[in-house]
Amino acid sequence: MAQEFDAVVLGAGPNGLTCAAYLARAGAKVAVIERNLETGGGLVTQELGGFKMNYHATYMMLGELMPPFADLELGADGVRFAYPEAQVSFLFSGHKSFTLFTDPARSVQSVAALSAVDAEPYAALRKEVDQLCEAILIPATFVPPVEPVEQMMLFREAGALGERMAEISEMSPLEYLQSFGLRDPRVNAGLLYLSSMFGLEPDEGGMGFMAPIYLSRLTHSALVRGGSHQLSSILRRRIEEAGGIVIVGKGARRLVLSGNRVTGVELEDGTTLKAFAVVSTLNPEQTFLQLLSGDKIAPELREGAENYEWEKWSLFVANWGMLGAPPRYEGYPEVVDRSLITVMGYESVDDVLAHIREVEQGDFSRMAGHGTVASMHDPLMAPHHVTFGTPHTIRWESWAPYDAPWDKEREGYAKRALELWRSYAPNLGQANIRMSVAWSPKDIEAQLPTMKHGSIKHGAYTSLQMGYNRPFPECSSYRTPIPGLYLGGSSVHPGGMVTMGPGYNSARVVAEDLGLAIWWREPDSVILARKAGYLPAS
Amino acid sequence: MKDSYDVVIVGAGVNGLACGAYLAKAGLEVAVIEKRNECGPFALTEDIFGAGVPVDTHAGVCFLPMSPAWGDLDLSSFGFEMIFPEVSGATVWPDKNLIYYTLNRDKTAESIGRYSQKDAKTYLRIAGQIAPRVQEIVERGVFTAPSPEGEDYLFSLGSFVGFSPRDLRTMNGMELLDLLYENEYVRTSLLGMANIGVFGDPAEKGEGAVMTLLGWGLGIGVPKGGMHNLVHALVRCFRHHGGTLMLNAPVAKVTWAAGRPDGVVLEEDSAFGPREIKARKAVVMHTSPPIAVKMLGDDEVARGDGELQRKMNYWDMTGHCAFTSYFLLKEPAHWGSASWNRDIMKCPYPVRAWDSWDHAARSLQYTRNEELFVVAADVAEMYNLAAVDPSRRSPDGKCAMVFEIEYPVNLRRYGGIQAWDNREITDQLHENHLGQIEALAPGFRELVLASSYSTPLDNWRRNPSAIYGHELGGDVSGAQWYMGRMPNRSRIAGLYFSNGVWPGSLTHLATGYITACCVAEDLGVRKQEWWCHHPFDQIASHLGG
Repeated sequence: MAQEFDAVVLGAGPNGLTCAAYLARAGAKVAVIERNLETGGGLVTQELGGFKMNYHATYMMLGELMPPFADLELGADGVRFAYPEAQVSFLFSGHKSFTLFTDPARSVQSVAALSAVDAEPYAALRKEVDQLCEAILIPATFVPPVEPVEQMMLFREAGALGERMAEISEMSPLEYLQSFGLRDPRVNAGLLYLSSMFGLEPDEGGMGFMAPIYLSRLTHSALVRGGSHQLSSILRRRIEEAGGIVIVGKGARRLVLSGNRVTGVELEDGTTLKAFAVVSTLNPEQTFLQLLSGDKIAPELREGAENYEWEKWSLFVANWGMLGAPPRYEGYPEVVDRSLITVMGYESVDDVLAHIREVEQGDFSRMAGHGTVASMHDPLMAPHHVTFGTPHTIRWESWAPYDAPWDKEREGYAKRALELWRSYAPNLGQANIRMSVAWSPKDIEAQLPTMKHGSIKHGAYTSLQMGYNRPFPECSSYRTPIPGLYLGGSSVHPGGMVTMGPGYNSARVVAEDLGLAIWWREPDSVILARKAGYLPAS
Repeated sequence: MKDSYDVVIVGAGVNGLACGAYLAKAGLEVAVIEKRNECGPFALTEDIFGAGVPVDTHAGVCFLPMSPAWGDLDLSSFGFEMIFPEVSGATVWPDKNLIYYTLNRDKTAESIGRYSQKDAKTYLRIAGQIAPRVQEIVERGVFTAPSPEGEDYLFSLGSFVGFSPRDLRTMNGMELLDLLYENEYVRTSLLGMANIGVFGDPAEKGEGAVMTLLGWGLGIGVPKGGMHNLVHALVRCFRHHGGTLMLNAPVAKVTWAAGRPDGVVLEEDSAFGPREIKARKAVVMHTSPPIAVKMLGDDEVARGDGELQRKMNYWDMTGHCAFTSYFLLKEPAHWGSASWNRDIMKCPYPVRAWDSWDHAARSLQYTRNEELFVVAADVAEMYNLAAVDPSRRSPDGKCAMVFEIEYPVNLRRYGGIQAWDNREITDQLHENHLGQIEALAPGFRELVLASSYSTPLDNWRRNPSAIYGHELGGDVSGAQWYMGRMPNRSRIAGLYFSNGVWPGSLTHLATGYITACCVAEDLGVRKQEWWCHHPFDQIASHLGG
């Protein structure tokens, strides 16, 4: 194997793979190093007994809007998304519910059926979050972070929408939601859950601008056909087609320095790879304290890494491969059965807030969360070729604490989750469960070591470590103070979830530094956002 | 991604991948099209218990040492490494008796000799005649497409034991062993090994004698890190030589032009949509025959070869379907037999054989009578791979044991094949298996931290091609033995089969190899410098004699 590269990328999650693919196509000699035997990081799909299970990332909030989809022609080689029209249903006692659709009008209608007075406020909310995403938040995902003062100035001078962004950038997500004056506690509960689902703290001051992302995009989300791993599989192919190599089953031991410059990576098996650029998609602790441990690094970097905040709570995911009819939510409208996500167990904002507080304290006695019947929206997810029994893959996800004796509690928790689900969909009691797997927050960390404490986004979303401050100001624009070392994972802007933003943005910076031709254009949405003044002119 | 290739192979099992790798390496443009999102459904390594212990859920020991493919495809350069256990297999009994098989003939003979010196001498005599010709035997018997000459060759091997071809053609495996060996343990052991050797049914005339004589493969290996590394190596090799792999791409049907197959169309739901992919020179069907004939179209196949169409529709896939129990253990099992022979603790492949010759005879008949519970746990393969591969243990010392039996699958007395989804029945079988292991390894129950099982229907769900979970692409017996298997090269121009062919789908990659030879010959690319290896040539130095 060659030992000298232009760029070595650490970690083959969606960001590492994206970064490597862009660089390889730009003509760089690239290697990706991945500790696990499979690429994909959080894009992990296992097929157990014919049932395809997404153990981690499953809802693609940006789908084809991610620039790599078009730039790398992922659709040509088998990345296809399934967009259910009925996106999220929220179930309440007394067989009450509302459903959010990809279509705003139908969503408003459904809210109105539950609470007539909330029709208009929800319509306003939906309009605004969709607009904010389209005009500002999505484009901002695919450019480097803007310095906060500069960004606020831009917003204030960019018309009504910009002013609104400036306003909500000072709010917490809960305050943002409350600003619409929705009255029904159940509607508020559902929307707050949506906003908080992936670890966004309702009370986090200055994070109000993140709420629209979830409130909009979780009504436009998709499954990757064939399982999330299909996406990483095709990204890998693009890297190899362009001459890059992907090394699996090997972890990095330390970064190699020559003077003050990173010149390569030493792997755990002792091999050394030389590189002009090393892009780390690992977390700051791994990058600065482990891979550089023993070397003299600047105090700010050390402190930044040591003070980096992990997420306060994580997720528990259980997958079941079953035979039998899919969940039929008895007493609820038929559209609930067809929803991508079904939220169960919350009646009020207090329930949602209490659940978060409880799991932050390590208490997982409350059972509430959401379910997805993947196979209903993507037949590839279940083994339909066997006609004895109707196969379905069902998936449960709920908030859970990292610090708990999960080895003992895992099975019991998964059972309770299924029991709760059954209480809303009694027919699940007749299901013949063939396969079952559960991942607690500890399993997330064990399988995906970058997600310390089960930090699914590689670190808490607080104003001290988002955007220009993520992971800390010295490193937030992908270059670090150490020449040759770059950051390209979820611990750098735009953060976690599957956006490919960190990988896409870091690739440009690395390509510039390597003197490579930037072969890709800025996305149209970014060009428009610059024109409208939401983002800097260039 | 292109939409037109020289060769399209439907199905990415290990043999489909091997066939693809050969043809890609020979310079053809090859696409392998797979319904699942990964390859090698019966060569999987999964951490099924979530405990950091990798478990080979199907194929456990690897027959690659006997394959030319190891050298031809240079699989070692693609990261495939194998461990050669000193004790490759053994038969164990609850009464603590034990016979084991090693690469060293003398050591094996010594093991047999504890039961009968006469039998030990017989074994040495036979093994001594086979050993110098083993490459030739495996090449002609396993890695060559069936032919009348080949069949004659197989039956001529009776000369090793003083039997004429006519003798061998008219006796079964039990009679052969009766005539050759005097000791009941020895006979039962060899019959047990032959029974799982899958080259035929030991109770059938002709095939039974041949496969019992040849026994089960010498020089099995244990892939480091799991059987799935073989799949990874094959995929890397295939793609290194320019092959295209399409996953999540179920094929809806094969397209035809001028009486020959010229491509495939994917299903609407595939990750690629209903895409058409053209095959300019050949289509290789790596799905099992009943599925292949539906993809090809009954009318089209009948038009080209009426007999073949009938054969594929009546193809029997009910006889070799595994029910596998998986156990997560605190530490490796302690075999009862270890009390007097520690070598068993280093054996990755212990086999539970019948309790007596009479038991064997009854059991083989009951299996044919589909009496499920009577035969339960009578003869089973066990994979104890942590005994030789440290990577199979979690950092805190846990390991796994796999217990696999081929059951009669029809279950007509219990309501039909769907009864395999009835946990009342299958829980009992699993419990039965646990009891059997407890008898062979006292204290086993206390070591079990978790367990699960996979029924024939679970296996079919896992492998869409393996109807009822059949592991070999269809029964290798009776009308489906040797000459009766699917043709590698059909009478229809451009149509080849690599599943349901001789000798059956195993990790020696023979079915993929033979089909690749046929396609390559027809396309004029067979003569390659690298396509020259022989069985066992990668481990010749390991073969003690």
